[in-house]
Amino acid sequence: MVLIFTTPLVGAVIWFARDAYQAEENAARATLRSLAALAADDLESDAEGGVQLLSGLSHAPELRSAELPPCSGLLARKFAEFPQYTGILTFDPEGNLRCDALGTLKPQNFSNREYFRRAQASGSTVVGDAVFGRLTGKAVLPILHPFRDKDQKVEGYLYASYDLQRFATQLHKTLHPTAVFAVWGPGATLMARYPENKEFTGKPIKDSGMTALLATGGENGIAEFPDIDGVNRVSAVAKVTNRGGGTWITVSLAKDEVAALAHGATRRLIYSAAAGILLAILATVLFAEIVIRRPARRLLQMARRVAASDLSARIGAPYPAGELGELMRAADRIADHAESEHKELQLLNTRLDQRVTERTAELQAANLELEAFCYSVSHDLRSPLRHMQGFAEILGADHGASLNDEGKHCLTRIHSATDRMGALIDGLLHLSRITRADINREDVDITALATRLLTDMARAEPERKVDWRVEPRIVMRGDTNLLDILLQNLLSNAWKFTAKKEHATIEVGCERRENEVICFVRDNGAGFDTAYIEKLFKPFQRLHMAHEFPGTGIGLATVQRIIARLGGRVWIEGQEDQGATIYFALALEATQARQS
Amino acid sequence: MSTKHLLLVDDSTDDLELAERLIMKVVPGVVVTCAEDGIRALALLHGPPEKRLVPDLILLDYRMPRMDGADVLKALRSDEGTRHIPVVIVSSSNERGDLRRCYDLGANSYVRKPVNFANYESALRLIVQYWLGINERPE
Repeated sequence: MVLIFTTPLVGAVIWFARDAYQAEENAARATLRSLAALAADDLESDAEGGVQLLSGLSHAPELRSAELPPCSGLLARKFAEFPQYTGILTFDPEGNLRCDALGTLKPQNFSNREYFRRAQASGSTVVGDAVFGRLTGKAVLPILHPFRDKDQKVEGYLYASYDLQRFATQLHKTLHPTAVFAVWGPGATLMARYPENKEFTGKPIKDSGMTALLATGGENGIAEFPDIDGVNRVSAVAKVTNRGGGTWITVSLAKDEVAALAHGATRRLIYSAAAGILLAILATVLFAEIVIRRPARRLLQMARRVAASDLSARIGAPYPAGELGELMRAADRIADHAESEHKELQLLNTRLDQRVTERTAELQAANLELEAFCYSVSHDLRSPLRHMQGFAEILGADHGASLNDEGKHCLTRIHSATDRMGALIDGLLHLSRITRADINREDVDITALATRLLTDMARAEPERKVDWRVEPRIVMRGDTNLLDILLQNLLSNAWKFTAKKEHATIEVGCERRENEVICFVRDNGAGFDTAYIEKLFKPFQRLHMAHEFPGTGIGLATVQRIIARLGGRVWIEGQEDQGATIYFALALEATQARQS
Repeated sequence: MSTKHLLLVDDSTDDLELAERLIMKVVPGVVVTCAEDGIRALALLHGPPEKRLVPDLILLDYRMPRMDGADVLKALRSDEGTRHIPVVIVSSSNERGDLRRCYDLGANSYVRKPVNFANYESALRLIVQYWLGINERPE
């Protein structure tokens, strides 16, 4: 991650450094040029200072004194005051030396000097070309100022020679400590130089880079060439232009110094940038560690624990400032909610479990009660019934002789009523047993069951002529015992209700549908009134008079109970005197799965 | 043929009376003793030796208050004096569990009281004749 952040930064620095490298070199050259210009400015303003000095002196009466000492004294004082001049003197209008600050008495004529001729011609102040002073032999910049009488006639000239070697040294001191400063006169003559070079001073330079540079006239000239001392330097030139003089100043810097200056700056830049980047990386890593990674790790640990179903996991205080802190706080809050809801859910589940347990217990109790009830029905209802029968039997057997016909009839009615009640009780118990019976899912051979039942019925009542058919290979998925009871009920019904038919037929068949097997038991018996079809499957509901077709009204209720327990459907079709067809359907998929 | 002695244990006095009448008719000269519950029956069977009743057959109802048929059976089978006496459970219960329990405890037979008195009568007749060893010869 740190790399992602810092790589573009490093690239930018390298690009910038390369650019800066170039710029720095350009800047170094520009600096060199401006150094030259500055030096030229210095010389110009110094020359101007000289002009001012002379101009100030030009009104002094000492200059006009017939005696020399007052004039020499004045000039000597000024000379002492301004050390930049190698000499301050006056000439007469013809160029003869009149008085001198140094008190030179040797007659000298300066009329052949370039500056003097120019001053004579123009009658105004002149800064001459750089020359070697006639009295001192030093390289100087001559400054000449005419002074006049009341009639504006030139009485003489004030002269100051500005010390160029001193100037060059001064440049070294004020402008640049390692640069070479040189003052050039007309014809590329080396006038002064810092550091001094006695060998070439006063001599014109020929066929060198310097002459070419000076030849450009000092207009923003800069070039690289071997200097007079043989050292390769970059030199900039500027021309001193005031008052028509011809003087050039060059500032030279060794090439590697320029490079060092430029590259040094760039290198410093690179080093500092590199240090900056390193610091930035460190800071970023530290920042990321403290501000991002450490909190993120805490967040991650918490998230992992929560994911592993430990809802008690929290990041906890302290939360860092900012979005990450908000995120952590929010994560804790989410976990709070999740935990409390989980606890609530657990509580609800526990309660639900308790309730299920309670209800199951209640249900079991109810079932036990039901069993107890069934038993008491079987025992308590059945026994009195048997007693009634028993005593009626004894009455008939032991005291029948003393009963008249009506008494005997009543006994018969008691017998049949108790018989019937016994059958009802047995049917009811049978029904309740079906409800409680365990179910074994298995493939049941309906054909075999039906065939056996019908064979038994035919054997029990050989006098009946019933034409019965059972379709082969009917298999249903259910419980053998329950389906046996079911078929027993349906077939005995069919058997019973066809009793009055001359040509009774009973048919057991099936239809194999997509999802289920539909089995039917069809007879051509008494059928039923379709208006009462709703009542058919209810216990104790009978549609026929008992004397027509005896029964308890339990059979179809039992059938429906069995089909409900097996998860199937049962329905009935028929018409009065047209017979009836009972259909029962059970799911087929399990059957097929079992067969395959 | 010595006098046969038979003990009926049933909480229903109706059943006791009907059964007594029936048995007297089936086995002439039989001595029938009736006990209305298990405790009274055990009092007769496990009483002092001089008064102790040693029947040839016990017809025992299964469901009775206080002490049921199973408890009586357990007591009979754990006592030297009564261990050998044939016990036929006569019950209104049709529960498989009751039947299995009775046989496990040493019942010699288990007969469900039929709803119909006629069936009850014939069942009782067959039981008594069989266990008292007075089966009629086939004609």
